[in-house]
Amino acid sequence: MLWNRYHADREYLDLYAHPDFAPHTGVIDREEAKAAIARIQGPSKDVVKARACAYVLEHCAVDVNPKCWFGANFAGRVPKYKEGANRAIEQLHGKWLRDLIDADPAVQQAMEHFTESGANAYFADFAHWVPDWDSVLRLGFTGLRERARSARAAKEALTESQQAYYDSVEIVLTACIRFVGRLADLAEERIDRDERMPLRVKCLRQLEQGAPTDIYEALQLIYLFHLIGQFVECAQVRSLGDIDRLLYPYYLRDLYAGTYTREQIYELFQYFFLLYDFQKHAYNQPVSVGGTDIFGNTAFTDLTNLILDAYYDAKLDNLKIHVFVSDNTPDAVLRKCMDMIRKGRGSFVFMNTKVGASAMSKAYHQPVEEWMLGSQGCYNFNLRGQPQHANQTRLNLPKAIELALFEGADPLTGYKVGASTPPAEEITSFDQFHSVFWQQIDHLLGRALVISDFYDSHMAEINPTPLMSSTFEFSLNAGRNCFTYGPTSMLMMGLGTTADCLTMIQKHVFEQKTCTLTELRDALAADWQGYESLRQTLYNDPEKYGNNLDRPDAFAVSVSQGLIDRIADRPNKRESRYICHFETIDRCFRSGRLTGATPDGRFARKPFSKNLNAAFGQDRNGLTAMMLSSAKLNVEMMPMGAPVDFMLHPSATKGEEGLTAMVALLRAFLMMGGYALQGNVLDAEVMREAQKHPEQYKNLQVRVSGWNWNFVDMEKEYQDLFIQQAEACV
Amino acid sequence: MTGILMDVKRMAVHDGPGLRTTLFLKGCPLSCLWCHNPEGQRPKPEIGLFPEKCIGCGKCREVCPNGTAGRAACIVCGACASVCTAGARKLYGREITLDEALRIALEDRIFYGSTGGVTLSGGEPLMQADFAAALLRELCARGVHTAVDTCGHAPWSAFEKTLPYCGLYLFDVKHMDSEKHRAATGRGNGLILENLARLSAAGARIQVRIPLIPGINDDEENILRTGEFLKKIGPEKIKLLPYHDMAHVKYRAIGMEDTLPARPEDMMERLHRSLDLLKGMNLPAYSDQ
Repeated sequence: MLWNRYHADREYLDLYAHPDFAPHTGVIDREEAKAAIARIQGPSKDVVKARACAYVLEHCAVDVNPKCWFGANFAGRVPKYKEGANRAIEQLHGKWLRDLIDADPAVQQAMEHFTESGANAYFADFAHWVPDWDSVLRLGFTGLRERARSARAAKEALTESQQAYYDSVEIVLTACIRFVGRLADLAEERIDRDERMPLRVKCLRQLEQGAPTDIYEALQLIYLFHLIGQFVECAQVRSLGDIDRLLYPYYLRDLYAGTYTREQIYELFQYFFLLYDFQKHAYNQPVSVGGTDIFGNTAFTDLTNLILDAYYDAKLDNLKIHVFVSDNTPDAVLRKCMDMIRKGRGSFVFMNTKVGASAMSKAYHQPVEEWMLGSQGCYNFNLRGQPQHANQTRLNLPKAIELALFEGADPLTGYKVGASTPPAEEITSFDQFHSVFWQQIDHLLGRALVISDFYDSHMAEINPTPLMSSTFEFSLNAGRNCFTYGPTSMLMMGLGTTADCLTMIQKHVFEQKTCTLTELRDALAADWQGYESLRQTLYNDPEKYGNNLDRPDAFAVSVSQGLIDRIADRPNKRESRYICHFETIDRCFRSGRLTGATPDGRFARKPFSKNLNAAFGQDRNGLTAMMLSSAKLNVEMMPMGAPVDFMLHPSATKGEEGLTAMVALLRAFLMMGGYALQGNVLDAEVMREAQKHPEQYKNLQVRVSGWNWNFVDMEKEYQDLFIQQAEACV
Repeated sequence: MTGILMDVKRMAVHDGPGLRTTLFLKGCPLSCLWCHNPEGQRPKPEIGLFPEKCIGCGKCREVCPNGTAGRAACIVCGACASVCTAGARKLYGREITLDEALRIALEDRIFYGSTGGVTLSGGEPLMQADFAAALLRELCARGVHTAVDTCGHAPWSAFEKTLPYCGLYLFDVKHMDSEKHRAATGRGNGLILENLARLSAAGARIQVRIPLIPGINDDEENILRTGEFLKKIGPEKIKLLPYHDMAHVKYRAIGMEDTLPARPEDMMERLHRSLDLLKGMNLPAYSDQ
């Protein structure tokens, strides 16, 4: 039986759980592979990197899983891929990076204690790269190589670095073609192991020789490119592309030609998606759907529906779908996505293409239309096929509040990471405090810019990426790595908490005189020990960002705009400009652990506000107020991300009414100019957390026969009841 | 013009079509045994006490104009609730001007879209009929869809005032036997059923809501009688609401005798039994449970 096997095959599809490398195809021992890679020499870093990749692709043993339509692997790759043979390639990057830092005293000074103090998290951003999928699918590995050769031939004279670049592209693409050939050979050897193997051989042979000709081959190519790009070349292939648009021509052709039926294509997508589930990326492997076409019509098609249904039916945990939404996106699609969310099986980010186009035109200084958008990262737009943005540094805004209160020294570690500013005793007005706060911000920004410039200058030296670069015409035409171009975005974390801190200081220190600035500083230094009454006053004061209230929202606007004014349009070192964006991902927890107590009543080491949301437990006026607050921010000047999260309880989304309401929420959010929205219909686990930490879940609502209750105000036995119900509906 | 506002629910999903803001007006002529908003019954503002949340900071005593004279001397000024950061004191109800109510009702307007809007609930909003009608009129004038969630026990004149400005009545029907209705709610059902018939005759859009209270109104006879009556009314929808007994804490907070019946384990089976009976009569009954 060739089809209708997904659920039966499913348990055999995890390549990590069932490796079957053919020993005669190459090296299996990853230590042997690592040692071989470490010995590789070359005239330039580009060529060394290319040869290292080629070693893996040409010499490591391979595996082709007969139970799967796509599964293929190279020996040495393991779930924690940093332990695999490709770790040797990353070690090369590490060495090159260390050498560059050692030679640059200015960056050493900027980095000193910056991370330990929690003020900034920095690293070269190789985590947000998306190839030009159009080129990949149109050309295949062989066509990419031909195009690179033509680009090289078109140059009258090559500089040394251009020569190294083109050599590296040639080496890697040749190795990719050989790798696919080796997979095809092994599939042929294993042809009797499954009915699908003849088709797998045919598919792999086609990709060895050219571009994909049907939807199966196209999906196999996307899988292989991701495998090589992410795990061999070591630059995260951060989106599988706007897959419904990319594959629609193949889909129609296959249906009309009778190559595959709709049901068979549905099943192919299930196998394809599941492979990313097993990779268990913390960021959830993204793929995007929807948006608009070049004529401004909706780009949602029958294939989009098929993909969404296959995604749901495949029972996945990890894959994340970016849904590009515009004014003409059909409600039916949004209802389908929301229905999946409320059923607890759907990870969606709804992204506003109208805002995206406007924001990207500001980042790239060129006219941008909605159809040009792609996705990159957790919830970020990019421009398909164009230079991509990098995010090298992440600034902890609440840390600037701490530094303003503690004369520039981090209270948790004692490191002097900020500017020298007056002690709290000498700050006598809010205006003065506000000015000190901005002095600290400016100091932190100055250091972050030095680090960011450093990484921007050296990205292509630290991690040359010939395969990724070969997909971009701009890179091929210039003979330079794709990393050498593109905007740089500086990430700002904890905006909501920062706005709350400023509000509380202005209100309680300088207006109501609930305490002095010195007392507040001492309370923070003691992590509120002995100051619980003051903490409760500040924490429970409802005047917080995210409640559609004037003062805290105005602080959020002024802080974000101040940062935008300082950063945006500043030239970067990748022939483009700086921009900034406001999101936290999970860094509200990680950086929160490095941040002391704050004047909003937050305890030391607790999380601060996430994304554009209110601080945890402070969104007391509900989700609509949260959205209205966030809508006051200038998100079009936050081109690389400004997401809002929503949390709803399953009982608040029940029935047709619940579904209609979820879509209405999304539509309103988009109409207000929101950038990206992602949400949870809360499950039992979250409610258990709410039982343990009710102060953080004050806004968790439960609907009970026409009335919405706050979960934490319910008696425990009823909370338990809802937890049971949530478990029952999984 | 002013009214007494008990609470505001934003992003209300189940109080009429679409996304809505629900304003709860204080005061109700009924005192249903199963009432889950007992703080909505008395017409005047009152203070709810949640002693388990008290941290003993003493701020309530500092601001109380009566010092420590206690609950009996309370003038319900709300000063204590406004300084209680621990949430141990909550003011239920406050006087509000029409302008302020309108501002609150319009705050989330962008979320209403073409289907959502504003619902007045309670308590019983028609106990403040002039205020409710004025608010509904202002909302209509601004193109906002309106709904009134009513127990039905109000003089017809109160309905008449709201009729031109109410897009949908969410009308509770609790029991067809007037004496049993009186025993369970404190009032007979005559005026309620009469109002429902008159509303229907006046061409109002009506969604009937039946709170199913086990052992009180969910017997087959009452459900069938309710169905027969509703056939003559012709509501757009009939929504069955399962009973819950989660309001104990609120009864304690306002010092009211707790009359909540126990919720049986087979509540949902009972709900679906009643639902099937009504659907069997070709009535547009549903539940979102």
